Amino acid sequence: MGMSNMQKGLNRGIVIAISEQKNEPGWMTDFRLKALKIFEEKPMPPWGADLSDLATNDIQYYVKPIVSKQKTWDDVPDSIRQTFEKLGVPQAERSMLAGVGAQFESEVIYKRLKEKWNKKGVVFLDTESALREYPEIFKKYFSTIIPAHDNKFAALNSAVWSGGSFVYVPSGVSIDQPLQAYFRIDSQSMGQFERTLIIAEPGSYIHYVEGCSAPIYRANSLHSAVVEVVALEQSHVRYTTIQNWSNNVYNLVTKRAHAHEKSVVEWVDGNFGSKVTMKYPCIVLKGKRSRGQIISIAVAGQGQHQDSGGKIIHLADDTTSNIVAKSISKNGGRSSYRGLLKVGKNLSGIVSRVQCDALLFDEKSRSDTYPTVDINSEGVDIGHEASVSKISEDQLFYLMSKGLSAQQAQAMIVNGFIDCFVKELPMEYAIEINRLISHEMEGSIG
Amino acid sequence: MLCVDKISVSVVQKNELKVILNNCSLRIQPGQIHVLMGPNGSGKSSLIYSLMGHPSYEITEGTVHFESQSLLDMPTHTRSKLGLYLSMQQPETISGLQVLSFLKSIYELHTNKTVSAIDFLEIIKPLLAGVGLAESMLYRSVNDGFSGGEKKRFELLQMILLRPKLCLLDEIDSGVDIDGLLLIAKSLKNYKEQNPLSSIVIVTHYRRILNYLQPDVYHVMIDGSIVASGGEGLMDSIEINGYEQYAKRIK
Repeated sequence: MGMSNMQKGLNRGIVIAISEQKNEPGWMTDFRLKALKIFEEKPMPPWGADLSDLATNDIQYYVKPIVSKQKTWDDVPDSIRQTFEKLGVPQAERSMLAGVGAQFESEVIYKRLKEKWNKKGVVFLDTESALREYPEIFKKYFSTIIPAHDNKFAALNSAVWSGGSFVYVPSGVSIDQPLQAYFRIDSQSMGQFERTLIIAEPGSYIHYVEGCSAPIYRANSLHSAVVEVVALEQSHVRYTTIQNWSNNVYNLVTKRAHAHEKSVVEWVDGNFGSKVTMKYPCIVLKGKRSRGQIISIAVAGQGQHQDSGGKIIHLADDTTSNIVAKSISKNGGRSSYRGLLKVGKNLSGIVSRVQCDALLFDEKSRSDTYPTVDINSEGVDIGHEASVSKISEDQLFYLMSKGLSAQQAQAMIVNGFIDCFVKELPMEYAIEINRLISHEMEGSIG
Repeated sequence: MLCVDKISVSVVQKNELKVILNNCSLRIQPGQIHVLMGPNGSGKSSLIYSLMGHPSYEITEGTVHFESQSLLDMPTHTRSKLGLYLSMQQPETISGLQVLSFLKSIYELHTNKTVSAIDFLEIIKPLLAGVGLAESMLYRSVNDGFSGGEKKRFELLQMILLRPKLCLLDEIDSGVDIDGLLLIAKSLKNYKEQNPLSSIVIVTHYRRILNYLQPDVYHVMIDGSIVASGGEGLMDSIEINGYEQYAKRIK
């Protein structure tokens, strides 16, 4: 790979090299370098999951794949095609893909957008290409939702980002099939720093779906993405993520959306796998009568800590929010719900519902809830419900007495528990999740 | 068909092993209906839960054979596939598990074949009507928000769907109104007619359901033992004199 692969660790030289390799304009190089400085200065977050084993100096910050960009499926090399086939991409494409943005080893190698969306003016590109091809709109919104100084890992992403998707939906355009990006990380010690930016113009609709499944490898690996969503007046953006990282991945993601007047933003977020996940999708309800919804599940197994949740910030009148967070802890796994509900000053007509449900498999497993509520207006309508339940011996016995094995019974109970999440997914993902749950139950019977 | 030979059963309660069944024996022939009677806490439910392999109940002595196979150390779901069926007194709620997909799964497990959802609907609809349950029931969660009567009928529905050889029914007639009781009794009778070689064990406190079914053998349980077995006369005697007579005999 020669020049393509860079040394491990991070410094100004590497950041400049990344920027040069991508032929970026000067402002982006400057942005990256400023972000690097912020990253270096900011301490690790003192709260949340334990990151003390994360060696950020041992990570390779950019890996360029050998193959160059491909336009059609037939052009993709066999080895990579097989990987995609294992992930089920071809079937998914046949059935309902509107376009595929797939990331393989940091670089988009396969991307196609159906012509009908092109005709409507929809832009669906890897983020580097968008910077080149749509510099004005890109610069107008890039990093406006999540600035580099937002947190240490947003700063890291800002310094070394590579890949990710850029989606632009023009006014009044409704994309009736989900746009999907399928990606996986495949190289030891390789950080993944995608940067995704979605802009929904007034009155538009888009459902963006990303799903990942990582192969098993040994060295600790870092995935630190940034996702920015701009939902302009009366637009509707739904963003669905299914992440199933291998058990050594640190998954530290910042996701935030700005919801303008009468717009709707929904984060549907499923977190499987990884060693540590810290992810709290955020919606800032900036415009009157905007609505935000966050539905998430987290599954924590042995040696895993899922620290996830959601943040809603009400900044306008008559805004509505809803958070449903479900977590499953098994074999000593730990899941935490960390939520923020904030209501600004002198607002009226605020309605918010938060529901967190935890399911524990055994005594070794753990579940915590850390809700923060910061209300600065009178007369807001807020509801918070939390529950913790255990899979009981009697439930298992009941199902087994009808012929289900212990594993099948557990899978049914868990699938039932997360049903309200799975219902929100496109069909193929729903099936995948049910299979994943069944697979996860293997070996979890004591 | 079922041969329970001198079993003793213990249950772990607060880290202590407590003996709850003592030297119990029971033989059931194909096609028979048996009734287990006795005061609360006498071990009726414990006996049938032990037969189904509930993990809390440990058979410490004796043997249990079903069609010549030992049930000891056999997992509960294997017993189910062999043809045992338990209708629990308090069926468990499984939130989010859709009745339709649950029923389809257990049907496929018992028949060893897969059916399409459409074909399965054709199978299940008439059975639902038979036990007086609405089709909308299929789209609810298992036992979630079911009334007492709905839960019992749902247990019955599963039984009719799976056609077990040995049905263990724990108070299938309690918490049910009179119309519901009639329906349950008729469904059981109907099941017996269609599956003449299937056997039924009923745990009950009430005679009403038995009038419809004409059981073959009645057993009285006291303090974890079967103290008397016989025909309908046993029932008559209990109706007049209560369980007191047997309790005294033990002491």
